[in-house]
Amino acid sequence: MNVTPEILDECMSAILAGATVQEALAAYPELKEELEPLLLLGAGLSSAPDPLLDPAVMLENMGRAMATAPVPKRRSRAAVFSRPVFTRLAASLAMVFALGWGATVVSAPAVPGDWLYPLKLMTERVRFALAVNSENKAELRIAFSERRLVEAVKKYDAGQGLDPRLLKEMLDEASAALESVANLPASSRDIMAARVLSATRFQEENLKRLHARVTPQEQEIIQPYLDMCSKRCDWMQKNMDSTEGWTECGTAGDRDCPW
Amino acid sequence: MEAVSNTPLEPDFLARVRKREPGALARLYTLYYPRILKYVHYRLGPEEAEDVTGEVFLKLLNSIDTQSGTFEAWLYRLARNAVIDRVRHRNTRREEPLREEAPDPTDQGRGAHSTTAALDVERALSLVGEEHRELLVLRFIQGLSAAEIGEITGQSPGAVRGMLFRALTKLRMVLDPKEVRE
Repeated sequence: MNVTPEILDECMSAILAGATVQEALAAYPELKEELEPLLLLGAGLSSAPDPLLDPAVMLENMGRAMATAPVPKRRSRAAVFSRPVFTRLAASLAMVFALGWGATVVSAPAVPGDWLYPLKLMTERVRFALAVNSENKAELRIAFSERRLVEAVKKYDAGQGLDPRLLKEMLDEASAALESVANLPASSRDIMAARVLSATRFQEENLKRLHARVTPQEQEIIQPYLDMCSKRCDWMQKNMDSTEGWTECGTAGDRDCPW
Repeated sequence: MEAVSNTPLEPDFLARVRKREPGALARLYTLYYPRILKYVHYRLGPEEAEDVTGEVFLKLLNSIDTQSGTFEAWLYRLARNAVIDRVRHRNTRREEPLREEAPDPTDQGRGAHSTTAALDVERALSLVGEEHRELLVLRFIQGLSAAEIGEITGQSPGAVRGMLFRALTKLRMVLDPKEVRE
């Protein structure tokens, strides 16, 4: 009798289920000489150690997949609200605890109206509360401001109309970022002020593009926000170029601060 | 390693994944990411494992709406195709053939947890051809049965068993007997 693929498979199944090589061989003592080295080899392969898993990389991969995967068909409004509020809230909290930073990643694409949007705002508040210094707080404010603009554009592109609240929040967050800048030491203040200016320019450019493709009525809604962005850019640029140094809003000579 | 077929999944698990429910996605990643990472690790090596595993899950979410048949077999087919694509890409760029060289024993930073296993698995797998390596990884490292492997590779269980027999016999011939010990 020779070792066949079926016999080898039977013995390996026993080993993979927890048997030792000797226990698996007991059924075929006459084949021990030929079978044993193969089983030892199979057992050796099955003991291959697990590769190191970096949770941060896994969550990053998950966030990337979530951001690029097609959005599933939306539930009807009635179906969404037929779900118990506490179930959704518990799911959101479970996500925060289960995934930590991943909750931020998962909820990142959400816009107002999505059930993940409150989770997104909650993670933003948590991150802000955990920010250790004014520099970090300013960075977060800038990021939040840019997000509000992106959300407004995404919402408009999804056919959900223009949301002036998001545009107002965009300006408010940028304003709060500038307030944080004022508290920074001179060495990092210029860098962060440049970041605020850059973010405001980004907003101005995107509002212009949006302005060009909306209805005249919607243009009227956008216009004051666009004007404000333009004024802020001019003021920031003048302030940064000034030889008299940085002038805070609300102080003498603040050059008609629009913030 | 727990066999994939033994994984208890809720009846509505896939439906919840299709709806991108965060709880289901977290469970999907918790259950399958480490397994697919291990599969890719021993097919391609540690350098590309995380990158390719990320691609697999990206494809999963992009095509989950068209998934049919056994979920685990489908997922392994995605991983298998991603590995094949990466091998083709390497060959096109005329780089070194897949894992022809034994891994540098001093490079443990991104490797598997333990280097104290009786058998140097990565080195052993580098000694057989791509087709045999695939079956050895699926059977012995992933713990899948011949029938489950056949569902992934499109072969009959009998053909899988025959190839595994030949793969193990060949490996035994090329390995130093001192390396094969319990």
